[in-house]
Amino acid sequence: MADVGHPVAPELIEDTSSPKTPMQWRTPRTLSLDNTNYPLFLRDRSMSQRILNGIVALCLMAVLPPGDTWAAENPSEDLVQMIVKLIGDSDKEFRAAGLDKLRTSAKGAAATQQFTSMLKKLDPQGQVALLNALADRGDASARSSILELISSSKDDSVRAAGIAALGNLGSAADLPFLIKSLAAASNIEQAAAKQSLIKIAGESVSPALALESKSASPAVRATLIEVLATRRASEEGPTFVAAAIDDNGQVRSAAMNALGQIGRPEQLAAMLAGVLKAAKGGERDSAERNVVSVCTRIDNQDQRATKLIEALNTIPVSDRDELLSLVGRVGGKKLIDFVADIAFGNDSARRKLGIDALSKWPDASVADKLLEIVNKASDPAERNQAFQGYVKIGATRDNRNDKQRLDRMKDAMKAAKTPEEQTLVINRTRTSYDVDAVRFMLPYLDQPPFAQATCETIVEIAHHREVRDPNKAEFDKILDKVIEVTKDPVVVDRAQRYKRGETWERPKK
Amino acid sequence: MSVAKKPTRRDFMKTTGAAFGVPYVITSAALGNSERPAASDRIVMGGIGIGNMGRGDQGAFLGRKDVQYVALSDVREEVRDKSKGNIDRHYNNGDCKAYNDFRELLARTDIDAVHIATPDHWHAIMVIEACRNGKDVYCQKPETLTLREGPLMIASARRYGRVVSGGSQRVLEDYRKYVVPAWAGEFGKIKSINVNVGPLPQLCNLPGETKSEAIDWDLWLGPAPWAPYNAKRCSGSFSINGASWRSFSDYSGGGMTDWGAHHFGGATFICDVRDQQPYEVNYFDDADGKYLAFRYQNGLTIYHNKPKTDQLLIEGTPGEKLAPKPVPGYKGEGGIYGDFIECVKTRERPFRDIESAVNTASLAHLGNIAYQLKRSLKWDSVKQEFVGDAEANRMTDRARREPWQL
Amino acid sequence: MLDTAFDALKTFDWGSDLAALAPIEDAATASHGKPEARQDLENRLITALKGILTRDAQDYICRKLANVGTAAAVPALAGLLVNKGNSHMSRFALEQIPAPEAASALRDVLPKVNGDLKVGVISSIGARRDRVAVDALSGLLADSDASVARAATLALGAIGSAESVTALQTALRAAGDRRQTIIDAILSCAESLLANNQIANASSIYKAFTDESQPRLVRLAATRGLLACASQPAVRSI
Repeated sequence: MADVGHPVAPELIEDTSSPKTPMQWRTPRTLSLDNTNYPLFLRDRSMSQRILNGIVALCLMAVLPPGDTWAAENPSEDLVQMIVKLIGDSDKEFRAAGLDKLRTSAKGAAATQQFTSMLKKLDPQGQVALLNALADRGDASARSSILELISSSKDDSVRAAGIAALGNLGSAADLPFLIKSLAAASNIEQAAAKQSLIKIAGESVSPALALESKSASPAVRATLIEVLATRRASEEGPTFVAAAIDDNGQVRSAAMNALGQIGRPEQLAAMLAGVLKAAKGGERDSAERNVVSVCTRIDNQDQRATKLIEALNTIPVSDRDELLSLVGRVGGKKLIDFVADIAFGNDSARRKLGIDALSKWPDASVADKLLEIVNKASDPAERNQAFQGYVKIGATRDNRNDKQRLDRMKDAMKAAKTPEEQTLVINRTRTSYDVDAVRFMLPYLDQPPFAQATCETIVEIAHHREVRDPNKAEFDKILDKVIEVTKDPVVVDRAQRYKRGETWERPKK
Repeated sequence: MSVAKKPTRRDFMKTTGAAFGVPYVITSAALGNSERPAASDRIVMGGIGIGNMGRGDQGAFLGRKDVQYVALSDVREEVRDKSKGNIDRHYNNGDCKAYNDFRELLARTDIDAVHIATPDHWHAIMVIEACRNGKDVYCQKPETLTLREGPLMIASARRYGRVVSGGSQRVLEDYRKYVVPAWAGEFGKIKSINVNVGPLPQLCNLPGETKSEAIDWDLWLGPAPWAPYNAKRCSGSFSINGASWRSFSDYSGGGMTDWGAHHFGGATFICDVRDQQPYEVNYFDDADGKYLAFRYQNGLTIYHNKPKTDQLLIEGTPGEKLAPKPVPGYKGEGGIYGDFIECVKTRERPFRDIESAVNTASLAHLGNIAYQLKRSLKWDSVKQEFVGDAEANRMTDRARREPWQL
Repeated sequence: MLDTAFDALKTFDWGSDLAALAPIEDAATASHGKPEARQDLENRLITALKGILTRDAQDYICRKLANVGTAAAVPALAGLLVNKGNSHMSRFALEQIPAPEAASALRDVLPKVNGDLKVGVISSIGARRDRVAVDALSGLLADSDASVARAATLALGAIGSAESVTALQTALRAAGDRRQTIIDAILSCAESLLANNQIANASSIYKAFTDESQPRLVRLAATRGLLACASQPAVRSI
């Protein structure tokens, strides 16, 4: 490969154009732009040119052997001065060039002080850019200047940038200020404070936040719990557990979300109490999902069920039925019989809860139980509830293949008793990406009550090229029929596209 | 030195437009309503390659009040017409210009930024040319087709101080359940992670067909070897199994790069090695199948398709908890698109900065080469060359069809 | 198996089954570290390339020679450089063959091709970073064909040597509307110099472009270059 070079590391090139007598340019002691020690090309009358020349000169000073010890004592002073000049440039792209370097080069507190000294000299946009860069630079010696600017600036974007910088540069000493800023007048300051509280480093930070989360206003408490969860402060579990049954819904929700993210199996019992405390509706639903999240983190399905049953056993018997829906969501073989016993029991109210739980199962392992209820139930309402559950579960995209899902739909169609139930099956059949599913649909194309739903299901399946392409001739014929039958222009367009081998972009919701 | 007044884009163009020799013009119809930033403060954008992904990208940028979308380029006539129609309807004007040749779009001095969603064999040329023209760039993944392209794209972006973002939104958005605990130190030191992705790219030898669309075929091929038109060859569908350009080695690194941009990107993010490339790729072919191990200087191994190993399975250090690190994220509002636009305004580096994007793509390219050669390779990421393997070094790039050049 | 594959190559065309050529792929991989087998494969490819084949088959051979070709393959490939239909795939191989003969073939054909083919050859020379070609490329910087001049400019930028810089700086004085491309190439050279720790050289290039008469983008690039120079560890340790 000797002859084929590479762009980032070219072979050494002979230096034929560099000045051979660099010592003729002496490094000046001061950084005056008027220094006549500079070579002629740097002497220019234009001010802006002189500034640029200054940059050039500073750079050249750096590459020339020093005439004294200045450079050695201040190894990156030249770079620092270039950056300082650029920070103040009115063109943000030139400013960014300096800030890029500020982030990664010219290290040291002395340089940082020179950079922070620019903070007060800039307009708000420049201040924000510099604050962001200082935050990325990560030198905590900038902190006091930043605090000063936050307190003196009347511009909320500047204050927000300063608050955000404290996330990188601050310490536990800044917590009171940051917590106070969670209730700042401007949304951007609040958001910045929250992010800083998430980022700020130190072992004492999370315990301090947990302590504060017990006494602040509900809104701040909820935010602090969110912060702790994002910090993955699992050691603050007791705080979350206590807050999960708080009287304030905002706090409860935050705590349940926190447990959902970082909770452990041993906290399931407390979480179930949180589910029961949650208001029915959105909060309850969310609380249940958080319990499911914790259960899902237990890899072994049987252990998952065991842990949930252990937790359920800590709940008063009278309250357990309320948790059946949750049990269904967790699922697992070990819990099927537990729920099925209730769904097949003598108490009709409990049966409904049991069927509801089976209908929420995460996979189709309970499908046969539901079908059994469909076939045996004497109460039409219960039968319909089970039928809906069966179709939903049967069509669920779990670890079964398309044919297995289709078989469930075929069984559902046999069990369907009303046009509504048949339509439900037709609609759900679209989750089976298989040419047999389309064949199964064909008879319904000719039946007016089902024609439109059938057309929609067929184009949904035809959307999948891997199903369509190997059976192109058959699909083309069926899609022709769809075009003939449907009155929906979107379905016609889709059918025509698929015939042409094109795709169709699903409109964004 | 102090800047008393925030310079507007118009101020800037007043002083610099002459240098480019073209006047800066925003049409009256572009001035918009009062809810939007002033026209002079909007990012003026154009798009190149408005197929499946390009259409989505265009929609995302078009929907932003701080963007004025003024031009597009595509080699397909129908795409150009439809896309221009959509944009003109969006703004209720007729201002959008549609170009067959992207160079005309890039030559416009009123355009600040472009998004690129052409097939991969075009990315490097377009990104570099855009940077030369002072444009910021949002480039769809996979950002590169060869190993040589990446450093040249980075160099161009850095040379001109351009904001260049790669295009995988999934890197930040899809792997949070691994990223969050990993950055919180909960896995301890991560020893390995496994990425299951594929397939490898294949040579395309599809027969010629009568064109079923109005397409500038020579320009579609661009730097790729000449080949006759075939609808599947240039299909923009997401197939990686022979039914679209994504499958074919002249235009793409196959599923390895197409989905690898996401999955390898996610793995390198989880393990916080987005700024690195591996120093070695070990090739294995045993009873369970072929797979790779990418070795990093910090001791990390990223496996590819390790048999019987789940996607993104992480091998940490049990019992060890590392100091947490803040998880980086997008700037601004609006996901990866908002991140790019925010960085265009602030001149900071986007989350999917071209350097990270290139490192991810290079990982996939290294893998493709190791699989093709069926042997382990040592990689010098500084020199961007294989160590002691001249044959592998032949595969770091390929000649571009005239007249295209990096 | 290999014989069968080479037989298949004789009638190979777009639409043919690639599986028929799999033995050639396998031989290319399997012959690694086996000089005799590799040479046999290369000879077969060269012989085939000289026969009457479709363009698709010729292209296929060029792809393989890009992987396994040596100086022996250069004459057969070089003959294709002047053909409109083959030039690119010939370069596909020649650009990757490490032998100096491959570089010579590209240089030698420069006076014999024009237009796009010349642009292509120049781009391959640039990709090889062939420093021997700097003089030839320099002579093309003022070519009457703007695309040839541009290609030579970018190629010199890719080569990145001090000689490239000299040639480009000379061309810049009379560049007219080609200034931007030439400056881009010079800046590319500066980056190469900087990467080789030739900081003073790089600095002097950058400083020339900080003048206010330069376009803003050029001044920005030059400023960034100067910052890069000042950030070099070698500078700070002085």
